[in-house]
Amino acid sequence: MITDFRVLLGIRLRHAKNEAIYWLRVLGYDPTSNGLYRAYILLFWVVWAFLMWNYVVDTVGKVSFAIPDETIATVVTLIPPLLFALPIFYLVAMLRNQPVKLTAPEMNFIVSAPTHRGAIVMTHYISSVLLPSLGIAAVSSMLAMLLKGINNPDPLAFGFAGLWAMVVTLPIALTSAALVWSVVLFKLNPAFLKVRWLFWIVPLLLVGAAALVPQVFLVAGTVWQEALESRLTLVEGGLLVGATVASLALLLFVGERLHMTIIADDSRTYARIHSLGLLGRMYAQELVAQIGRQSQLMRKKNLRLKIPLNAFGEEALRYRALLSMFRLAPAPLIRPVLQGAFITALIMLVVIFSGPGAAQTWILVLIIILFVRPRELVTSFRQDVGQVFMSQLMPYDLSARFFAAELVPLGLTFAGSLAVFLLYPTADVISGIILIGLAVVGLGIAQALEIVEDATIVFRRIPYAYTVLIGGGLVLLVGALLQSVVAAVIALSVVDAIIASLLASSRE
Amino acid sequence: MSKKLLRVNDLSYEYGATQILQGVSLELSDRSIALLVGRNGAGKSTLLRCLAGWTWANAGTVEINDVTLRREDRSFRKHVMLVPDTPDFYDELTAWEHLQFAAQLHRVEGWQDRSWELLEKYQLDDYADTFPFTFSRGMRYKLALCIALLTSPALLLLDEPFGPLDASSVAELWEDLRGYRSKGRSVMLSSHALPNGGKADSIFLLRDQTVTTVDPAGVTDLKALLNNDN
Repeated sequence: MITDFRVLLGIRLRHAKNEAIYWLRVLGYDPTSNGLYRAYILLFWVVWAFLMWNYVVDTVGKVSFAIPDETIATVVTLIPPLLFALPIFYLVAMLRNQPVKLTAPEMNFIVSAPTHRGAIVMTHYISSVLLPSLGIAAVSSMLAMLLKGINNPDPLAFGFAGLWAMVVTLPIALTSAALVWSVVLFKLNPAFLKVRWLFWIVPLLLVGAAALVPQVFLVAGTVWQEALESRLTLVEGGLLVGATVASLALLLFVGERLHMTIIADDSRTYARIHSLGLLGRMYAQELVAQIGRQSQLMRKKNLRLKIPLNAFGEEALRYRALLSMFRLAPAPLIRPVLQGAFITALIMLVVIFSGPGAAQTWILVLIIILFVRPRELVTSFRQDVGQVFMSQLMPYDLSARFFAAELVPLGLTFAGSLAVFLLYPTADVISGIILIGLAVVGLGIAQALEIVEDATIVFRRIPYAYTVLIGGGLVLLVGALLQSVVAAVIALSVVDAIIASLLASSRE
Repeated sequence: MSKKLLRVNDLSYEYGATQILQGVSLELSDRSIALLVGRNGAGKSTLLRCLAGWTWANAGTVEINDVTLRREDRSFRKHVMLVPDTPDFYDELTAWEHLQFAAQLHRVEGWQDRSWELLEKYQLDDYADTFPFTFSRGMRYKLALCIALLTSPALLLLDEPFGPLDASSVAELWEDLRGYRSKGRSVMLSSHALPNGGKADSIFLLRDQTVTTVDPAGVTDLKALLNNDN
């Protein structure tokens, strides 16, 4: 077991080292050159980290003086429930997506070898949990100094609060993660195959138990509070260390009984994404999303919806888009509604606070639309245009294809916008509703123009920002000059018609 | 009497500073199978893409069934279809649904029987309810071929069809192409080798950025032809 663990950890460390070398090279350093240069790089980063830490600590100290006593007291009382809630959220996330993810080489060489499964799990645990735990401990240290600073102008007490919080938080984080991993890996045991859903009750049971016996379940937070006051006893410290060791032993015990075929099967998506490499994972987001979509579809037992046998021509296009959305539901159905609601809420807030009569209000609205675009309005259209082979089967203009593909997302975005709009008292509801409908269509077309190539005016892709600024500017100008919402509505419908015809004559 | 299905006049295409095609002119009659040969990198795929309207030439014209290919008018798509060497498909649609989608977009009569017949012929019937993203390259090519044969355009362009297909599928393909020709339609297929199992009615040789028509009866050694030795 120990030998396996050493070998696997060695591979992980070598991999981490190679990644670090890669990133240092990206930053302009070459750590593989001579020893002196390596020492220089090490020194540089140590000094940099030290300076940054000092700067942050100094800022925290300054900020802490500005926090009122009552706020400090409230935050301190909230720490135990917070320290209990965070592992519960982590547990829910891990129950959805188990934490031991194997790469393709691991699947090929390690899983098939007679390696101790406990060693595989522990290696993954260390590489996934240790660094984030250190990060959490650092944040906890900051929080402690923030809370302690006001009453302790003595820098020693201020520093000790941070140090103790860090020392206490690290084992708490490691223990919580080990317990969560143990529960999740226990769920993957083939014996529980038919009752896996029962594990979803565990978070609820824990919350219920914490409500009944808070002194037991909120003990981590209480220990943290003690550390803040530097009142941590030797017994409490010993208990903390004991709990960490026991939780790691439990994880090892559960890990040793793990079925690696289940883990390997579950890791296929991760392995595919991992094989894209560092840059691929960062920049090929569309490809990463596609791999996720494909994995989601592979898991489906019953496929939702069929293209009706009597849906011909553009109707077939419409059903194809609908089918894609429903098969990946609920996310593609919820996102457009939320996007519509979010953008409208932002706009309504700006209009209410700045007043509808002020020119800067509408300039702000344009800026919001520029930066918070409803991306879901072009997902299916982008997919259609991207399918070069299947695109040949579509002898329809791009405007017709846009409306066929995006009819449902347009409707859902409109519904989300409308729901928020109707919450606010408005003088002219009918004009507002029409304006929102036209704006949703316009924003969809503006994004579609960015995907295809214009064939009448500029003979290239028209950036979304240009369409929004020119079209939106025109609508605002007409509305402002004529001091009429109806005029703005008419102007927006003209803009929509113009950009729709531009899209119709565009090319892929 | 045969009529000219495809007319290419003085077609030129350059990619950046590299001239790929220059002054390409050719004609293809209906009811014919043509083979486009050339070395790797000669521009065969580019020429086929220009003929299908996937890539737009810098100069020259392409006419299919007397319809001139124009970027802003997609009506030519009813007359031509290209099967590329690596076709892409929708993630959310199964193989059968791709055939259904294609058939219903093109309003193909009796598509279900014909689709099933094609899937069986190309050994994809067991995978009808499978997502194409799980297919191998050869299976993807076969599915694209089934879609193309189902929608039956006047001119079918096949890019390197013999690379991804297994031997039995190559034989089926030749049989289908002969059937396609007998229905008054035409096929142009590209290859860097003389294909086994069938014979083309005409051969176009793509060399030095331009196309010359070669008498198929006289071609026995493609290597010599490509090297300009005969």
